[in-house]
Amino acid sequence: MSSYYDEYIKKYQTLSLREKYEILFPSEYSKSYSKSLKFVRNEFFNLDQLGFDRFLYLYERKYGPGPTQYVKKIYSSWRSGMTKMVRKTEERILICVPPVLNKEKQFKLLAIQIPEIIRQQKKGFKDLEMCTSNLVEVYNKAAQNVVKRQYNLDWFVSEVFPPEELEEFLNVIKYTMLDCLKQSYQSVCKDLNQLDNYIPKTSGAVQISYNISLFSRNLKFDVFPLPNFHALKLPMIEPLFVTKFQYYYKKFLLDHAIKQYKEEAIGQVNNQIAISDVEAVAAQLKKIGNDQEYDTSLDIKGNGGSIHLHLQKKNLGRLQNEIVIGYFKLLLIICAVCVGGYWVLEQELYAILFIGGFFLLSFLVATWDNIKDLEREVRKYERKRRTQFKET
Amino acid sequence: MSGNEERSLKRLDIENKLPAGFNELSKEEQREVIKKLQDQDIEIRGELLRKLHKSKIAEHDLAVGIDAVQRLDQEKKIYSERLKGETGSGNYDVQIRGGDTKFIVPILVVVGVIILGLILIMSM
Repeated sequence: MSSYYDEYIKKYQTLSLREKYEILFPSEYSKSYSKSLKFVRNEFFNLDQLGFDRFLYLYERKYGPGPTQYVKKIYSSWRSGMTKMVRKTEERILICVPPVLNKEKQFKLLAIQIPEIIRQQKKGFKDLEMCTSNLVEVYNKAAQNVVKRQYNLDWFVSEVFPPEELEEFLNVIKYTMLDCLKQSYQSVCKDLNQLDNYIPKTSGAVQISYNISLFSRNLKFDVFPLPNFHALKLPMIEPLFVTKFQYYYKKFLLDHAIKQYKEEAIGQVNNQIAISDVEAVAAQLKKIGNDQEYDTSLDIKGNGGSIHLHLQKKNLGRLQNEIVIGYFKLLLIICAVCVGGYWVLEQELYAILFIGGFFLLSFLVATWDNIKDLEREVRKYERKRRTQFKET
Repeated sequence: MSGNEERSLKRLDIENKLPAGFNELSKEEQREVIKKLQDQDIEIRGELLRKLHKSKIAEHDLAVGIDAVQRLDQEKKIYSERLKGETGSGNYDVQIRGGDTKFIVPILVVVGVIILGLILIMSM
């Protein structure tokens, strides 16, 4: 503990004043805001003369000549790190620097908001109940959530970018998310359709669970096979490019298409490998004799999610044998209790009766519990087997 | 067209994979996209081979493990073996139990008789 503390102190001493300040007074900035601020500060300190003049012009128009003179005076100290910029000035710079940047950098600044938007979109998926019977509904609801949701962007975004640019930006992000939903649905359906290939034909019990990658949620198998397999119709709104960023949006969508193609190809690879892995493991399990038992878990990656297979084979003969042995033990203990109890009472050894009685009684209870556990195990196993054969 | 030509063409065929809006790009950008797709293809094939390789190793390991368990079974020993491994698509965890449990019954009978005998002796 102390070595960790020493290490922490050593590390702390090497930090710059600003970093120490951030540890002592952690800011309430969001990740995207901190990133944007860092980006704008960096651009601000690397402005060329023309850019800096344009910035000063904008700054003066917005905040007056006094603050502008102050910025001019202290700019080099800020740049060298001698003086720390106060939050108010940081906010002003965040508003006045982006307009003097070129289109590419402005787009980069806007793109910093993307992870936050995706996070907000995914937050909306949390309330969805995922079952095979309502899979289409789940994806439709998720799509509606993507389209209708009001996204909270960092405050400066609406100050810097006009509404039509923001609308275009959000439309492009929504479009990519809807495309991801569409692809995820197709991949999940492919996996579920091939479920028969994933389930090895064994005489034991098979349990399967599926986790959809896009939602990071487990799918409940209440109906199988899937109803309305091709029923998904997502409201794909093709984004219109009207602003100065149209070139970057087209490139962005192109990159998205390439990425999606890669995802799909990797999904197919995963699917093929997963099926061959299941077949290989099942082939090995077939070698296991009838009087042997196995309990196997297989975690595999499918096309649109991960599959967990639990294969179990129990030797029912052994379990029944153990139950019989359990009853036999119970009988022996009861006999011992009766005979021992009678003898102790006859000899009037009440202390032994108390201690020995307690010991034998707990042994009796433990044996009884063990028998009941075994019986439950047999019932559970039989139920699992019945369910498997019903599903497949 | 010879078989070799066909194969080489297939290797380079990415026309079907070109995204919408590709034709609107400049020559330089088109080249960049094609290069990206080819790199991706190579990466995916590499990934496929790597995963296949891993799966083969896992399959072999599991086969060896199960053979070892089968040998234990032939020796009539009571055993519980756990085999874990990583396949190309994930991982497996196999637990096998077995062995001749029948000899436990006579042991239990003998132990029971001894206990009953002792109790009877003590009660006399």
